[in-house]
Formats: sequence, C-alpha cells, structure tokens
Amino acid sequence: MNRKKEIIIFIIIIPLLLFSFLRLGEYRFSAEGIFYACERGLGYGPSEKILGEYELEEGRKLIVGKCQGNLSVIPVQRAFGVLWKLKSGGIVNGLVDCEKVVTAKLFRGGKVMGLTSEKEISEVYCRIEYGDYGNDENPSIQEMTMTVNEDGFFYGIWSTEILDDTFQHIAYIEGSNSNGKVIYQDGMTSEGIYYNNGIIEVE
Amino acid sequence: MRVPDWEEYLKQVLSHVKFKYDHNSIYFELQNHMEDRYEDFITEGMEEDEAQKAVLACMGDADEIGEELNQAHSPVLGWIWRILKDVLIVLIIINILPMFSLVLTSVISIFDMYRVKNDSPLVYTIDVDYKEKVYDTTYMIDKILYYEDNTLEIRYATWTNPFSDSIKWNHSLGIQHVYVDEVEIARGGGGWKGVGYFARGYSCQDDVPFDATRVAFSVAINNEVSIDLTEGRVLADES
Repeated sequence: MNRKKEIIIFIIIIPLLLFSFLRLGEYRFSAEGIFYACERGLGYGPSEKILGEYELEEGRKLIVGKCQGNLSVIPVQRAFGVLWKLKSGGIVNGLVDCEKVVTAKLFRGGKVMGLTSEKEISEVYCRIEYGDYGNDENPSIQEMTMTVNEDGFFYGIWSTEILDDTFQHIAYIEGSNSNGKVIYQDGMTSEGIYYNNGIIEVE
Repeated sequence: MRVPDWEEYLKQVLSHVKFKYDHNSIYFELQNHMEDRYEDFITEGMEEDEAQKAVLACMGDADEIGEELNQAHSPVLGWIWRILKDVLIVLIIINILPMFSLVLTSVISIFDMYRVKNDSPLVYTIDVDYKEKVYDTTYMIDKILYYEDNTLEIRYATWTNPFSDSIKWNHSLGIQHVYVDEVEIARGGGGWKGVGYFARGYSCQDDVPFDATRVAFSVAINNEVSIDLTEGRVLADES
C-alpha cells in the first residue's frame, strides 16, 4: 500500500485506539480529568470548584472539590509518567456530606479538612482525640486551628506521624469570626459541655 | 546454479537512499528482482558472465536508480510513517488487555441470569418497567417478587457504556425502605449483583408483610425511587 495512504489510515486509527485505551483502562491526561470522571461514575457532581490538591505519597495526590455544599474527596495517581488514574488501593471517599454549619473530617495521612456554610466564620478550631484501639478512655489530644478560605474550606495536617490504623476522631469543633469571637460550637468541649451543630444538648 | 553477488551494485544504489530504515526492504526487493532476471537469462541459454552483465545493463545506472529510490522513499514521509506505525503497534498492544476484559465481561453478562429462589414458594410478581439513566449508568428494574417466607425481591440490571466518560463502579440497588401505607416497616436488606458493564442483580428484604404498599430504594446518590406494590400484582396461582 502507498505510504501516504498508510499514514492517513494510521492517523484515523491511532486516536480511536488511544480513546479506547483511556476509557477502558480508566486513564486521563490530567488529575482533574480523573477526579471528574470518578464523580460521574459515583453518580454526583461535577464539583463546582476544586478546592485543593494535596500530595500523598510520590506520584499520588488527593483532590478535593466542592459539590453542592459538600466535599468531594478523590485520590489519584500518575500512570505511565504522563497519564493519571484513580489511586489503586485504599479508600475513595467520594462525596463527603457536610450537613452541619461547620463540618470537619479526618482523612488518611493525618489530614483534617472541612467546610463551613457560615460566611462569618473565618477560623476553625478542632480538638482531635486519638490513640490505640482499646484505649479509648484515655485518648491523646491534638488541637489545631485552621483558616477558612473564601469558599468556606479549611485544611490542615494535624499529625505527620500518626498511623492510619489508630483510633482518631474530632471530638470538638469551634468556629470563630474575624474578631476571634466563637460563634459556633459542635461536639464535647473540654469542660464537658456537649453541643450538637451549635446547639447545647447536654450540660 | 551459482547466483552472482550483486552486493557492490546494491550498495551503490542504497548509498543514495537517505531513509535508512528502508534499506533492508529495498535491498532484498532489488536482489530478488535481479536474481529472477538472472535466472531468466540463464534459462534462455546465456552464459553466467553474460547473464550477469545483462542483468546489470537492464537495471541501469546504480546512481540514477539510487536517486529515484531516494525520492520515492522520502525520509520525512518515512519517519512519519515509521513513528505512526510504532505508535499504532504500542496502542494495539496496550489495548489487548482492556479489550479482552471487555469481551470477557460481555460474554459473562450474556449468560448471567437472575438467581432462582427455591426455598420458598412465590406469592406474587410485579412487572416493573423502570429505567433511569444517572450520568453514564442506566438502571433497569425488571421485576418485583414476593415469597411466602415474606421476602421481597427486586430484580434489576445496570448498564454502563464502557467508553463513557466515567470511572466504572459496580453500582447496586439496595432496598432502603418498605412501607405499609405511610408507615415504614423495614429498611435495609441484602443482595447480590454481577460484575460487568451490563450486570444483573437482586436486592432482598426479609419480613415484609403481604400488604406492604410501597418499596423505596436509592438509585445513585440522593436519588430515591419508589415503586407501588399494590398495582400490577400477578398472583403465582393465576400465572
């Protein structure tokens, strides 16, 4: 066959095969492409905005989006040097419900992040309790304060050494305005007062 | 018959062809052609030396042929062709596994049937013609079956286009709530679903009374679908 004709045939077939490989193998050219494809697959989204991309291990990252007032958290990883795919192994959080005024969640790798629907809140304080399973009565405590950005999103790393298979949870959350005044509380304060989404339930 | 060595002539021709990757094919093509001519001349009764000279005379000047071949085997076109060919080969190789998986799951899904519950007689069935596409996955509910042991079963299938722009998850439909009038009497339940772009599955709920009026289940996130259990009942005795 004439070489020119062969080149034309190659030019037609190559994009089709590339498309087939990307779709069947679930690869994309960008980390965001995989993020949005994962959202579609899970049946929600697309996120209105990508709030952050955080490095995990080498070649892997966690992409966080905002989707209708909730967080969309999806880990991705590089493939073949130039492509991206969903991170193999581990958990895909997907849509993380943020039903409270301030919602904070813990993620693998000692990360804490969350959203607030209250525009006045500019800073979020979290008290995290953690420890070995079976030792829930006397947990270790880590406190941290995070700045809220214009999307109501906050992020921080509360520990770089914590193992993921330890018991850990956010015991108490506080939201403060720009003057430093606490305007929101959720969970059990260190004084033993229990708030549920800003409302005192048990004293 | 001794075939003469055309090496010197062929080397002279090839010295003009800049696209080196074509040298082998040109070499063998010319060599075969010259050998054929040589054999023809010998068959016609020529002496070996005479036949060799005749072949070279027929072929013409090596430099001229070399220049013509160089134009026909343009290095630019040659490189484009070669790179595209290599890319094509790589793409074919890396497509083999996903394609095999696609074919395999398609074949499995053809033979994948709904399970038959044998441990309890059927009381009634409802043919449900429900179909909803959520993003790239289409959910199809075929039938609701109710058994004497108070089990309610939903038979469904899902289809996701393998080439669609979404990561393929194995979505299943779970019964979320069962109601008698507006009173919720059961929630949650078990089930099973096959794996594949097209897959059948079932979802079961135990302890559902015969007079249950409505069943609700979730199709994807935040999308609850209700099916009326009072209409379209076909009693097992009637069928």
